[in-house]
Amino acid sequence: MATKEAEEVYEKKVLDRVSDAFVDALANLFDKIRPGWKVRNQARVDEWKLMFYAFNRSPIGIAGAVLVAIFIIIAIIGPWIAPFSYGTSLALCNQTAYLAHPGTVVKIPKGCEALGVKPGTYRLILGGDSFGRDLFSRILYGARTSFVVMILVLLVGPWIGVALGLISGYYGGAVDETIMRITDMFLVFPGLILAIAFSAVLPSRISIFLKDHPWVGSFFLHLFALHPTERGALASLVSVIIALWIVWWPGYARLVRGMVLSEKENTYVEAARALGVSTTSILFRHILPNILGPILVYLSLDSGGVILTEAGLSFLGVGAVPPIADWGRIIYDGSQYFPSAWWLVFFPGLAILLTVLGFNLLGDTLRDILDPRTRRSIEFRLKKKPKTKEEGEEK
Amino acid sequence: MAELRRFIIRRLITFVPTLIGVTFIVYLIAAVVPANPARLWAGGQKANQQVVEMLIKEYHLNQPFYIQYYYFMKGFLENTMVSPVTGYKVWHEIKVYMPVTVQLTLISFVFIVLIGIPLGIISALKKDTWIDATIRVIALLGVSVPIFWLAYLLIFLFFTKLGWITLSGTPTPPYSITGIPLIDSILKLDWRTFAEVIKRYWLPALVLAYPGIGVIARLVRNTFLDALGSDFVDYIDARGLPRNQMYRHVLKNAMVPIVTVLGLQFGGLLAGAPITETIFGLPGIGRFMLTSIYSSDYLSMVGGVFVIALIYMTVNLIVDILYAVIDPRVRY
Repeated sequence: MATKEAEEVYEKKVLDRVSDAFVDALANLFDKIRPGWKVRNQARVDEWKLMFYAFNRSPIGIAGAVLVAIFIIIAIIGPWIAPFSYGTSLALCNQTAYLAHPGTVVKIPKGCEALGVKPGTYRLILGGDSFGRDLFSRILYGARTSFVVMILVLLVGPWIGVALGLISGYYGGAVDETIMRITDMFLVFPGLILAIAFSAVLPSRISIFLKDHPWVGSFFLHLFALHPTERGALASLVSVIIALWIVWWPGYARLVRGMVLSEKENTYVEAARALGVSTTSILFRHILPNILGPILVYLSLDSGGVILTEAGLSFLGVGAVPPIADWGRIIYDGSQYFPSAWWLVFFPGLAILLTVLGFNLLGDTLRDILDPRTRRSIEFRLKKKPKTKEEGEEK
Repeated sequence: MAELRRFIIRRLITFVPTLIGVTFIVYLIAAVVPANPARLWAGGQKANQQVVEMLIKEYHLNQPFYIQYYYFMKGFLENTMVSPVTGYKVWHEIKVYMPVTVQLTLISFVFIVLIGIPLGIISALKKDTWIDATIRVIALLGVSVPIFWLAYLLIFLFFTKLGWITLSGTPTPPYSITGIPLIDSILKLDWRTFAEVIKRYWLPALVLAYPGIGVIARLVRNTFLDALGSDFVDYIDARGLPRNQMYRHVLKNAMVPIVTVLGLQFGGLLAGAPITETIFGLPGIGRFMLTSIYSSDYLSMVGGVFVIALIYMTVNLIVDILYAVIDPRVRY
């Protein structure tokens, strides 16, 4: 019923029908899992559709979403579509691949099968590096590295902060004071330097851990799409992830604490407490869903930040070690040949820029849409104005 | 004002514990994590056993880490702590490296204020025009661009193509008042040294400042637009005050969040310094900390952490006090 009403009230474009179909499919899925979900959450489904309508009318947001989608698709299928593996040194077979200009055609003669390359002619679209490795393939693999690091960092780091912020804001008093003072200690110090320190000292311990637990190593090898021979290089990548967990929580702790302070005064919290709901349940099942919006906006804005920081770390020589393909590391290695081999610096940097820009554009738009003030104004603009038609006729 | 004094005292009480906490955390991770630092300092695998034992005794490495930390802090503050890798006193090294970073950060900060704030104001005044759109794109690129990449592009333009900048050495005048050539040359009215300092530092400072310029321009635009929408602006308009006077009132009202973020930017500049200093060959504190991390010289690193945290916290304290000066409504 309510959906029909929405159709009448709002003007629709092609994109809106796509997003409607997506939301409906999602709602049906939830309904399958929990019968009766759709009826009970009709208002929420309509709200989601409205958010998509607002999003569809923001060219900036769509541009961001497209950039992010391209990044994610490349990160997932990149290692399969790459013409060469990230470590294949074509220069071993043909000298022309050494620091080859973008667009150079390289002929691979017979007898190079050991490299995993079939004989034939290949065009290095973005050129080759100092080992004759194809830059284009390495950038595709680099997307995977960035993406995996980003996901693993954002899956853990911010949520440590969220949990601490929830506890700190809800309990108040000495607990709050202790947690916030510790948070302050992390905030008064530039995160990048802390992350450098962590990623520089952690690998020795991590490599021992990985030796004792080979399955963890295999898991990461598959995640990063690396050859089994690169097992030794994993420790430094894992250290970067852990280092970023440690520096990525304090901002969220402060943000969430502030929101909980006002949220816990609501009647629903009191009602839940009166009904004897456990504190954990109040915090994570009642308060958390209500403050999730701003957290998600921060996460989407931070995704770019994580990619940028990770690239910065590998540029400084901590983090990904050769021959792992990592955008920051490619720039660092290529900078030795700058400016004569400019492509080694230019293209990976462009990849970082476009990805981070995509996440920032997307995050900006999400913030506007999730902010009730701006969303109401968007809704107002979206509403069909029946009067305008009459006015038109009058003219 | 009595309130302000109480506030400052309260802040100063938490000042020292926070500083101890920061250095303790960093010391903990740096000292506990690597296995057998004394062997590393003495030369790795082939280290002389006698030297290793001497180092262990000298730096109390056979004791629990909190006792090590105590001895480190004591030695550091009394200026007797010698770096086991370089052989210099830690304070001495910080004194050598610090002026470069201070100059870089100061010039960057000037760029942020002189470029970021006007861009934001223009953007707000020309809202929804192509000027606004251009400035917003510039600002958004600022927070999205990897600064090491930007640095190489600008080096290509200004060093390789135009030859306007140099990438080696730092100007040091023969006299020293504060130890920072930029400030010394202004105090001595020595404009030649001043020009040399600016010539060496303007490009790295601009690169370092760009993300901050983006953040500030966006913030100024939003707060300025918020302030322009307030009732008092209508009132000023109704009273017939000239436009430029009206903007002064608007800016004053928009100033509090801007000052907060400017204070935070200072920390951001210090944090971004390692990358910029590495690329432009500036021997600053960021570079110093990087080299000490690479050589497992964690004593020097914690010393650097101490100084950066101290500067950052002092700046934040000053910002909090500035609130009261800018906005008399602020109560502590």
